[in-house]
Amino acid sequence: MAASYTLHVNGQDHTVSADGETPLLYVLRNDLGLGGPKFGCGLGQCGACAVLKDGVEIRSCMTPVSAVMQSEIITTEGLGTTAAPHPLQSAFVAEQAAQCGYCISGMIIAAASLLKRNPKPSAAEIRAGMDGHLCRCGTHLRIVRAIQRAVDQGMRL
Amino acid sequence: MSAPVLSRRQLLEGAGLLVIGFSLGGIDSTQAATAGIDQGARPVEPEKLDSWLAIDKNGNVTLFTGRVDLGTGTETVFAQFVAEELDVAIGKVRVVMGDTRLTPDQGKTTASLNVVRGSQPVRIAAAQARAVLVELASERLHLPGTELRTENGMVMPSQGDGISYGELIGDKNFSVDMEVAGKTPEDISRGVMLKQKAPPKAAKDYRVIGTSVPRFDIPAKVNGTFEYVHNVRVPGMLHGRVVRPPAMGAKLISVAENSIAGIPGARVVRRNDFLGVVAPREEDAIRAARVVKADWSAVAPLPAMESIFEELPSQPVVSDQLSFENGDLEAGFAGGKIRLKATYNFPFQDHAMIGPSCAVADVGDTHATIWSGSQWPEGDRSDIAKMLGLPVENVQLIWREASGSYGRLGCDDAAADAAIMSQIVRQPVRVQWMRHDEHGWEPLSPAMTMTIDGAADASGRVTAFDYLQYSPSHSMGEKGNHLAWHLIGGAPGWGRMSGAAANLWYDIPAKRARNIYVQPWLRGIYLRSPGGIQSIFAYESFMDELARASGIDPLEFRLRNTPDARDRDVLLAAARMAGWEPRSGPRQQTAAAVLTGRGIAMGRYGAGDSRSALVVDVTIERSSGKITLEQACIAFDCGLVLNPNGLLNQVEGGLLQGLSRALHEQVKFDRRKVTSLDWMDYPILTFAGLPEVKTQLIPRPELPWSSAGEAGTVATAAALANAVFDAIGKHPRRLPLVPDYVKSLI
Repeated sequence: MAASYTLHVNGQDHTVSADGETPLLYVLRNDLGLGGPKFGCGLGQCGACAVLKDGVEIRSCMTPVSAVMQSEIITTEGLGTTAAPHPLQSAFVAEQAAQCGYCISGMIIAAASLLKRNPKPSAAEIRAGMDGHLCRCGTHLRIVRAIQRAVDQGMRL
Repeated sequence: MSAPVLSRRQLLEGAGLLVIGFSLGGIDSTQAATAGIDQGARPVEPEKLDSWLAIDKNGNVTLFTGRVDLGTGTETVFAQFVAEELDVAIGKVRVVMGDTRLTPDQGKTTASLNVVRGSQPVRIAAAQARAVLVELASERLHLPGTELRTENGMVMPSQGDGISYGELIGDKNFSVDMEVAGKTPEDISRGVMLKQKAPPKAAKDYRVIGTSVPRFDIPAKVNGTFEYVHNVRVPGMLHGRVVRPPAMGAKLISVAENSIAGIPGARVVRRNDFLGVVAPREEDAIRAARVVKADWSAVAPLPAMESIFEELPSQPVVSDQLSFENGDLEAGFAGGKIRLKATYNFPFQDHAMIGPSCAVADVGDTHATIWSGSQWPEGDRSDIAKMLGLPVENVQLIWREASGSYGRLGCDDAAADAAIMSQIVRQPVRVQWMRHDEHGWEPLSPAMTMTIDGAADASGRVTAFDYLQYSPSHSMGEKGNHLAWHLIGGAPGWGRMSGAAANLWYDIPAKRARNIYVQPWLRGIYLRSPGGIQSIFAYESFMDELARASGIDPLEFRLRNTPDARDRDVLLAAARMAGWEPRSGPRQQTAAAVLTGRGIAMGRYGAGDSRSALVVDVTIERSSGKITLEQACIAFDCGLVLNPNGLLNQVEGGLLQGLSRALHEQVKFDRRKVTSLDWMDYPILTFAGLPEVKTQLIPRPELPWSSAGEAGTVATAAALANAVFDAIGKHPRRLPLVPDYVKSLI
């Protein structure tokens, strides 16, 4: 049954009417108009839908909207903008770390989550930490380099 | 030359622009780029310079191109061509791509031909536009054109002030006719070419071409505001989902509409065997598609997956063609000392887009607008018009970038799905395939079986090379073959053959490649280097087997068979990066728990004979057969380099995607349909499996630029297979190199 939910997304409160079991992804995309998180598999396997919940990556395609009401949700749009990018976003641009880019929003969210728990990961730790995110274009090497660049530049989250 | 007349933009200023779509998170950027341009009156005939370029009062230049950017950076490279030929700052150039009402028909974006063929009219048009601007300035300044130069968006005399492009022609028409070279349907589908009027720059004068201009699309892609087709929204839009049959070819007998009665606003949408559902909310459409009950007919079973390579040669033959035939094979075999024959098998593979196929359609009684990630906007448009029963001129197809696809596929299918649903429900409909729809119903890269009979003489020269492949055509899904059109009936089917064996570059006195196209049983479409990665897997595996039988180092064996300097350069560069050590026989490591291996391979592919060579290092766990990619060193040559960083991105991507295909990828199916429906059943290379990678571009500024998108992928499977051969002493004859298969060879 549809009910009213208030979500805290990218620093703002939003009230939406949806079934509590609705995956957060569809609420973010269709009710809040946020195009950063993408539908990839609906199974939690690819990571295109990743968002931060209280600073930790979750898969929004598998997370019911009713489960995140007490949390702060951040999408790529909430991390930064073209005019005022997040250090990870700047690093991805500097490394030209995208091709089609469909996975990239999820990659940046995953990197932010990784760096929160391990602010100085090695290249091997970055590879291990990003392993649950799929890229079809073969941009992996640049993504690793972009995260490494953000780390090397002393990024503070 | 006469004064420019008022442009359509000025004529229609104030008339208002019909808002037809918007995107998640704001107004669509292409709409912003075209704001004020009347969509009904823009010329799209390739013979008019105004169809290609417009310059506004501020000197901003807009390029209109029928080509599209599949995530490879075409938009930026095309802008580089415009900036180069017009002498404007790159930041002044905007690119509108693939909108059938705004852009000239430039055919399909396929075969790595965007910058080879697709850019040709862009360069010619921009060079002509520059000549027009110089002429206009010449009249204004009362100076001969020969005393004027162009620089940073200005026409400049040798002394004194220049005039800006915006002042010379801002918002007005060029009104110049161009001439098209070649107007056959094949010419147009490959991409229109313009005859040169004003000469474009010589390569030695390039200042923007050849530099690593950052890609235009990446900032929006990293902050989540890029307008993918998945983000297009239309007022009053419903969400649709498709419901596919439980077996390929099954007919829809009945649908229980009441099975979705409890879902808010959900409706069944059916036409003949096409079944879908729509609902106002996306999650409700998904739920309805999951629970709707339907009866389908039984169908004849598919061939068993285990026996596909035996089945391929026994399928009915559709066409029998030669890729090449030179010399006397009989004499070649007679001149050989060593003769080998081997069969190599390449499986069905997915394009495996991360974002499933998606489209939005708004179909009315007389007109339709479709937003699609199609690689062939005009082809998709004409097919959908026919399918809907509308005149093609009443259908507008607006391309928006989709997820990286590396071959035309479900993007077009989803457009047809959305169009049918919208026509039935008389509202705009957005369709996105679910993951199981994508993996289960995308047109596949067809399986191929390849046999080579060849011989080499005592000096290590190949004397005969006779190659035969059996495969369905790689173009079945290309035209007239939308899944939805088949389901509603009336689809004209397919007729084009593609996926032929690549040209073989070795200097062999007698060589032949024969392609036998057989009747398909699973729908197919080209995937990055169709026929290339497959045939070169066979060619280069066979070269290693011949080298081993001859007792000659595999690198040396290749060098003995190609005198071509560019081939030798890529081979030697890859070998140097890897620290190649010559070897004449198998490694002696029979007792080791972890086996090490190193393989080399090269390939040429695409227009202009682009080429790559790579050396791959692996370790293999003896107990399991599991391969670890340790290192890959790739050298790449595609002639003059247009954007070095962008090219490296393509080369790295092609390398990793090719290794993924060779190591992991295989579509699974049972007797009814595809069963590998998600990323667990169809794994691809992940971060944890990455090798260390070294790349080297070999620039050839003296040569024209050639295809870049596929040449980096063609030799990957062979190099990996050759590394396994080196490690275990037996050559793998089929892909993918999954642990069970590798273990069976040890």
